[in-house]
Amino acid sequence: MKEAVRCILPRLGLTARLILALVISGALIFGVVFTVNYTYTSRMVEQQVVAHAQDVVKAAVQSVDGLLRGVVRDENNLVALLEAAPRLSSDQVRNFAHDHVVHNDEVFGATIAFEPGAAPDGQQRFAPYYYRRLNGSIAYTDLATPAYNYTSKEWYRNPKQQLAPVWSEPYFDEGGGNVVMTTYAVPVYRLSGGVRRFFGVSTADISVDWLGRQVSSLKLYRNGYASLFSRKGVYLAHKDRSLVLKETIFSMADRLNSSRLREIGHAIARQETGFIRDRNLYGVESWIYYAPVPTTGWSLAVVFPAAEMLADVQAASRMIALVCVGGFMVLVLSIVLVARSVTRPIIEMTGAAERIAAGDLEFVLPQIRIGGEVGALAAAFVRMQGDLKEHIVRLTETTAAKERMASELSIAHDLQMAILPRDLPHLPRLEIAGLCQPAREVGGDLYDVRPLDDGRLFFIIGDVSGKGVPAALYMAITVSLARAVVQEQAGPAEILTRINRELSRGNDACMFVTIFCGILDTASGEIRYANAGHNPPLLIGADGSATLLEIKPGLVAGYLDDYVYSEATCRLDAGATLLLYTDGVTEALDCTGKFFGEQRLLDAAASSVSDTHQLIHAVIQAVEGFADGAAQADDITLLALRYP
Amino acid sequence: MQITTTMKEGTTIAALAGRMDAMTTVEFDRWLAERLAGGETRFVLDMQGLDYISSAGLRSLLSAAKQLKAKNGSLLLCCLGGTVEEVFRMSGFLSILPSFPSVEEACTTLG
Repeated sequence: MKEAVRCILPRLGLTARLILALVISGALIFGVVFTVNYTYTSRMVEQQVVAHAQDVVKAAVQSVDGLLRGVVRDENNLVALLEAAPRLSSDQVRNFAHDHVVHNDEVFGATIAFEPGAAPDGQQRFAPYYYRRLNGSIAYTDLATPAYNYTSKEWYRNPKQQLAPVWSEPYFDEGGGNVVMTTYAVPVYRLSGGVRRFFGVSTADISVDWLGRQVSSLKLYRNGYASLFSRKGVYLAHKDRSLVLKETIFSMADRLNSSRLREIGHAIARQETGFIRDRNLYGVESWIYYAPVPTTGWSLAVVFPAAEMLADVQAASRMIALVCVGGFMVLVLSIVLVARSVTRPIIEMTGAAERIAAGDLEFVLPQIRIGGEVGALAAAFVRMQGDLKEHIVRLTETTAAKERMASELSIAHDLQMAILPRDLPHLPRLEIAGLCQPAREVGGDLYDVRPLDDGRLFFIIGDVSGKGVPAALYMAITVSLARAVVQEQAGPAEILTRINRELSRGNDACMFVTIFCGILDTASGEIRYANAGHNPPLLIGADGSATLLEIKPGLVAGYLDDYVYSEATCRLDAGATLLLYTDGVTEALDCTGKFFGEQRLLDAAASSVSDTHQLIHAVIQAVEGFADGAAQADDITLLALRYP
Repeated sequence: MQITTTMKEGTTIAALAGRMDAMTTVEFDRWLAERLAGGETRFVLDMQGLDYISSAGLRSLLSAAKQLKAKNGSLLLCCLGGTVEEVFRMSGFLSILPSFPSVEEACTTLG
């Protein structure tokens, strides 16, 4: 992954990078804000829902309980009347029952059922029952029929046995009201012969339908609903009528295999209050809040679908998301526009740079109006084009000048080579070889060999201080002077003294030249020589032994105009060679900066003596082998004279 | 090439070290020009540390001697040795540039 990022990122353009960075960071920020907001709002809503559910249930319980309390109060009043009346007639009892139904809207039906034998007017059984028809009119029936046998009914037996008022479990009153009802039954006692005796049961029926309507009328959001359970968990009211009295919370728990629902059932039986979040009967995630109705011991439960509760939150979140995404798009669009405005000049300039790189220096640069870094870049680019043009012009001029100079130097080289002896004189009793190899195009080394009229041979070798053009000019002067002076049949010391005098005149630059010159008597082999600070030549005997000629050092020529050089002599025997050289040989450098030196020169010269050309060749080879690729630092000149 | 300069009783003592060839001689020329511009006219060059001197170096010393002669100054050498001394000897320079075994002796000569 990282590798991929590392590979792809550098290839992306500025716009793509900006958008990528923006999208990633924007998505992160948006995600965090959205999540925090959603969590926070959801929690708030949940708290509100709980509070609301509590309020609703409390109100519903109070409302239902209030109704039931009214029923209880009125029933108790009736029973008090029944117990207090000195004597009761059948009509009177009927009136009581009738009035009870008529005056209490919440009462569906009422009966006053007498214990067999305790009925008024000497009747065995008496149970006048008034109830409401669907159209609202009051109907009457006497429950004291053999088929109904009211004394066997739970609403009659339970209060009688428990000696206290009882709310019955809901039931379908077959033959009575013929509706599903629950009955508040109160035992009636009267004094009979000074003894308080059970007299019968007075009841008030409450239609569960009616109760269900009351419960259903509770306003619980859009899809929220309330249900009422008896103490045993029987559905008393539910929006699904088919459950009422047919199912209990436990049977539903079994069917749905829901342990939570069973827990609620147990909690209801224990008259507890609770709040849980679970799936409702229809599998919808819901909040369920339940609380007991104190009067009857029933429990009221309200169910709010969770999704509905969060619908507002979700709607708000959707809106926020929509706004965020919209804003995001606007941001991306503006980034694209900004990036384009930045990159367009760069792209244009890239094109221009390519044109300029291709050599089109006159190419008109695109107008960049944008400021900031890109503007600065554009300005720098314009400057660069100008500078480049200028540089090219200058470079062209310099190159031309350089070429001219090179050509001039090349010509100078040819001229200098022409100054040196092109063909060395061929003498019957002498072998002569010479070589001049400048370090640059032109050099400051010189040599010359001139046969004199009397059969003698004048030779000279020299090395001008420094290198290059000044040395070359000085060398040319020196050679010309030598040729002029040698015509006058003088000795080498005199020749050298005169050359020095001429060179010293007006030599403010302090150039100088080392010179070794001599005159060889080809008949006798005697050499008269003079030296102006030059390296001592080598004398190589017929046996191949090489030695340095011991010479007196004289001052270099060109400095002191009144300097007088002295002369010395030596002898060249048969088979012997005189090897003259410049310091370019002994001071040739290898890569480590070491000098070739006199000893290597002696060794190279000693090993090759048969021929002067071979000798020079051998020395050059030894020097090149020693230098091993290191650049030649100084001019190299060799001149060999040999008696065969 | 390194040039280490000390002053002693109006004499400029310069210890030259390394190679004095066509390239590095320029440094010596520049150094000398600065010294001359500063009014110094008495120089002792300590050549002990010098490994090599080319003809360009010699030319530079000749030039220096000439310039100092014109200003009634002086240029003395000391502590020559090895190949450098050989070059001085062979080129005949020892006959025109006074040389001494030590700095002290050179300075004594200058008085």
